[in-house]
Amino acid sequence: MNIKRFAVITVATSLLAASSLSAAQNSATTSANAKANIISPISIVKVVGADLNFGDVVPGGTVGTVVVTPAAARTSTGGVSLGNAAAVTAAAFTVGGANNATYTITLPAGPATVTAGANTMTVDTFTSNPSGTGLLSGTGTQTLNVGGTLNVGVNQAVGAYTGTFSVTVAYN
Amino acid sequence: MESRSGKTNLKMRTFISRCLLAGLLLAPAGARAAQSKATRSASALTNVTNGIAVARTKDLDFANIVAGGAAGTVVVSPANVKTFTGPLTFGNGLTSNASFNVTHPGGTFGTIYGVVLPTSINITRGPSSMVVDNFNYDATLVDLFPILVRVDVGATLHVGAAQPVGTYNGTFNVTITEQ
Repeated sequence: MNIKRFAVITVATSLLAASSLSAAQNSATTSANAKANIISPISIVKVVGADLNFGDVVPGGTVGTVVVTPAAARTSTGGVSLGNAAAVTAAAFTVGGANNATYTITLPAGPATVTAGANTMTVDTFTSNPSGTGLLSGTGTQTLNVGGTLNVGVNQAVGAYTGTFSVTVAYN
Repeated sequence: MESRSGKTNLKMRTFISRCLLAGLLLAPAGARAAQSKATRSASALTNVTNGIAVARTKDLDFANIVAGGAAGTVVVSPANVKTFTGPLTFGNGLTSNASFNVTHPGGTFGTIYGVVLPTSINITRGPSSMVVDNFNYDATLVDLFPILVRVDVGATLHVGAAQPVGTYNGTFNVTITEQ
């Protein structure tokens, strides 16, 4: 057992005569609970086939952008026109962990690069649904969709451009 | 007058009895004829308890902890400050130190108390367990007349390398003694 002591105000005087009248030492005992909850680590896995895909894009004489939302809706600005939309998808991830846990979502702060041989474009302004923070379901999962903006150069070279980007989730 | 045991009460009763006897001797002669003998008895004094009492107000709770794949510890201080050591990663939820109210009507300025806490306990979930040790406390004097002291208790939780997921529970005793 581990006994330490505290005094009611640190004065040397003791109870003297009164203590000689006391019977056995006064003491009292009670109990308390101790509890801890081990939860599984949070995880994020990309859904198979659910990459961020801007589809067919036709460059022009001025720069432009193509935006794909987390709901996979595609629009363009500037000198870009939109081609075949069959392949357009938003990225999708399955987030897993403790039931009903909240978590933060961190998207890339800077641009990702997509390349086709020697040619490159950037993808930035990533958006997500949910955004900022998410909430796992009662069974500990949630789908996270991610969109972004493709920056297309003047007369961007033809090709199939690919690249990667990362998303981080953390309990909060 | 401090009342520590029944001895003081006896003194009180004795004191009252003597007063009544003196009153009878001093009564006027005329009145004496109507009196023979009067007996008074003091009603039993209330059984005043002056012993120590301790009551739990908060349990010790380490909240949610992510199993980190390697062993580590979580410390909850008596002031409910949470600290992780080792590769454990942060989990959400609110921790709590344990807390107890200690009362002692017979205590006073200068009374010294001992606090008995366990060296260690196990908290369990089925066949899995974790050790909680390094119990320590802070005592805060809340009131002096009568004595009320709040004792806050913290401890260290040892999480194993591949600690199974789930809620672990256990209990521990606290004993307060007058020294």
